[in-house]
Amino acid sequence: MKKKIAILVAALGIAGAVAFYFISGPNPLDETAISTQIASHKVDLKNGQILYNAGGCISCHRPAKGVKAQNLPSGGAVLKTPVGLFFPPNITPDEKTGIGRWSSLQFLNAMKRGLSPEGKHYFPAFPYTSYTHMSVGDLLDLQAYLNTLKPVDASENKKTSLFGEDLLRRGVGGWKWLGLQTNEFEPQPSQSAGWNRGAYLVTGPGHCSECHTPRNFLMVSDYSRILQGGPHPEGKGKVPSLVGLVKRKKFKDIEDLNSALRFGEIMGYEDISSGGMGEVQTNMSKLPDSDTRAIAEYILSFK
Amino acid sequence: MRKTTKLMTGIVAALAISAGGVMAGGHLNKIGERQKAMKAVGGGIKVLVGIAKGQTAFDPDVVKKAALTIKANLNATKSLFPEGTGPDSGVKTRAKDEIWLDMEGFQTAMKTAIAAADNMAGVTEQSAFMPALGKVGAGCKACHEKYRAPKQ
Repeated sequence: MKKKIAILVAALGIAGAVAFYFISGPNPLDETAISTQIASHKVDLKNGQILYNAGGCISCHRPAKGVKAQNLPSGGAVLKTPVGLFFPPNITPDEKTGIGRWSSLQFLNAMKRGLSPEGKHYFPAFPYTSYTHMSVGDLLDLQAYLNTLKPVDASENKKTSLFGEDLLRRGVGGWKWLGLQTNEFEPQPSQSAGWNRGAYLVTGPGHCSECHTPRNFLMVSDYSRILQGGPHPEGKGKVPSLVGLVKRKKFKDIEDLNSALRFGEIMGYEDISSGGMGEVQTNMSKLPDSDTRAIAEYILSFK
Repeated sequence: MRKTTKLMTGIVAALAISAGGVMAGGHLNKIGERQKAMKAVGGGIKVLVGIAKGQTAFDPDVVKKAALTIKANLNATKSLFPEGTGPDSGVKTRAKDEIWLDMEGFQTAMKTAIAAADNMAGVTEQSAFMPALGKVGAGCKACHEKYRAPKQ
């Protein structure tokens, strides 16, 4: 009897391991389906730059202190998370240490599926969980814009090194299988163009929900509680809710919130600087007025 | 009789409060002091922002007064961050540990903000106002970003 149970447990274990192996494997984009989209795309660099600023890429892919070109996303500055220390990589077009040699498909798989060119899972500290909702055209523009930046050799950068990393990455694969929603953003025809633009920027490139939306038990953004605030990603304190900002007298109207996003403390909005939002605001100040206004319109629609 | 009782109560209360202050280490009062000074800075900023938003007309005298209020109060706060008045002091404060971990950087950021306020105090032409306000805002932000915790 005991022997039988042991065999059963072993069999289940093996079956589980096999299942896990398949579930946690890479799930890349359908190459044939996407290649026509890639081939027919006309690059818009200006749009790429807007998306670069909307995403605030520089804030995480910042070079380490002491590196001269602080405005180039050559990576290396430490990102402290409860999971461990991350050193975001170089996303300048340097051929050896950056992403200059990446194909369109490789870039899209990174942004939409969280997969490296080698097919390894990225940790979701890289918010592909939001970028996955972006349009293919926008992502190709973003890649084209990144490729116009000055290449930086980042061979001196520290690299992320976590205990049991390969297995952890497999775990990320399992997590993706359970919870990653890869649907592209769909505009709502009943809403204004501004609202839809704002919704797209907030949901996709802006990745606001990564901090402002609480997570469910699977640790994915719980969109049923969208923008209701959540724990701070650095492990201490809370990120405020963006629901009912007018009712709670945080902002008067769209104009007021737009002004806060564009100018921050220059216009006396002192509470937008702390907790990491200051940097977000700096990035947003580089967007066209119509875009920050759209973000404000969308955010304030959560009464 | 009633007067003396009241007086006595007053004295006892005053003694208790000051004793409390001493027991709390005295320097914890600095938290209140710097919050008050920062409120005054905010008052000055409000005046400048009113002009920037076109709610009030540009007036060099008003600008100067507001800028000097900001400058004086920032100057006052420089010395109001002694050791032991951080997040672990037991008193509610948004001052972050980073201030004491990097006092030099903090004081440099403070100096930059003070210089920006000083620059604003010398603005006489409307055309120089917005650029000067940009510097003041950047000064506030640089400090708040690094050294001030968000409202919880």
